[in-house]
Amino acid sequence: MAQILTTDFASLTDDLQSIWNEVAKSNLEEAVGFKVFSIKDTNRRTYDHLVLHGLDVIKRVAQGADLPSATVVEGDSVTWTQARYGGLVSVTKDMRMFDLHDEITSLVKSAADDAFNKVDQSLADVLLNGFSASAYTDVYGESVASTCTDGLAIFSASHTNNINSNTFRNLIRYNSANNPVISREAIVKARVDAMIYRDPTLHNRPIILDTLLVAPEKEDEALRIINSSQISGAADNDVNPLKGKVKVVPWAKLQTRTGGTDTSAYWFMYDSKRVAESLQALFAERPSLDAPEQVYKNKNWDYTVDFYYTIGRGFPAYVWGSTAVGS
Amino acid sequence: MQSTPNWSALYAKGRCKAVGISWSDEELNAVYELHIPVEYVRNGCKTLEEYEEAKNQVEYHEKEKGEKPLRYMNKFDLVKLAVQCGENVTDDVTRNDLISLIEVVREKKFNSEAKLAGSDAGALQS
Repeated sequence: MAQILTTDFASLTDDLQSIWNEVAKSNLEEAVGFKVFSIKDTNRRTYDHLVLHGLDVIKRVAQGADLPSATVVEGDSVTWTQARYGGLVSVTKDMRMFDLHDEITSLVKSAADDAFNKVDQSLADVLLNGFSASAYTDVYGESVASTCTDGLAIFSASHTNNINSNTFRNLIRYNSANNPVISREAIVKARVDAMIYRDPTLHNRPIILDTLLVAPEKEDEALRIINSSQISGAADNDVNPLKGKVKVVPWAKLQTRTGGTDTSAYWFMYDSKRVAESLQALFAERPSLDAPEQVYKNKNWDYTVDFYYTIGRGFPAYVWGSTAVGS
Repeated sequence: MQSTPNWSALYAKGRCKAVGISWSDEELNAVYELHIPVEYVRNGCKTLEEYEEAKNQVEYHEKEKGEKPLRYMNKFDLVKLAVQCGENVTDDVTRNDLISLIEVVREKKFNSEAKLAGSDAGALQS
């Protein structure tokens, strides 16, 4: 056992940074939120996002006539503001004096775990708190607004637009009740509702709900509903048309919402090709471990972990949800 | 980390109850299904019966006092009234701020007139 000396600072830093990167990599692979949300980098403190409802440009063109010019139908706008999160990982004099290398590495591993798990939970909380327009307390203990671009909760039976009085839903329903429990019929109904979605100008823009997000408690049931060759639980041998059309994604963070509410029955569906328009996470700085620039009186080597990000709730039509309370 | 919709634009288009306050499901139904004017829904009408009753009261008030109750006036009319009251108003002012501002000026005026007339009506009013 040898002391970790000041001359070892550079090699210890390299060592800790490679541990950080390793843990970050494995966390990124496991964090479902990073796959559901569109992860982007930005250097803007406030990011203005404008919803565009698509172009209404293609018209019949007479021989020799000019082509009509495209006009964009502008939707709502929303501002996403960055916030900084972070903490210190202190390598104390005692740890260096007595070469407590395991303790030092486990500190870094646990800091990386904490950072990525909190980001992942904050993303899950966006969906889990998406049924009410009231602000909620996030995983960092801060109050955050839960509204999307039209000022309503993310999941609503009557989302509005700024062009006319047409509304659309992304709250899952079945048998005229909102928020059904997960079932084959409710999934089929959600897929139909999404597929016949019409934009504010009443043109059909199909939304293909091809991914089913569930808490671990519902994974088995969801897999049976989706992946069985025959319809699960039915006496006949009717084929299961959902097989191959929907991917089941279990997300551990959906089990319990920050604050402790059991949300294991909640379920969500989204269009994997278009969900980036609904859910984004914008990083001004990704989580990283930085070496101290100076040593303080207590002779601790304070490594810093910090990052900047914000969660963007955009045009909500591409993600659908149900609390399974059947109201 | 905040995601902030453009509340003033939503409010101006009648798409929220107030700046920072969403419509409830019942209120959304009143606005989008029953087509009750947003000012009436903002003043508590969620059914057609409630709307009819409130509409009669507003009409009666208009006939008696020559103007709608402040809470039912649109922003344009409220701005005109606030300017008449001597306030310097910009486009950024909210409707609710205009209403409370006009109420304060009117109350003050009422109190001073009552005082001049030697009545205690002003004290009662306050």
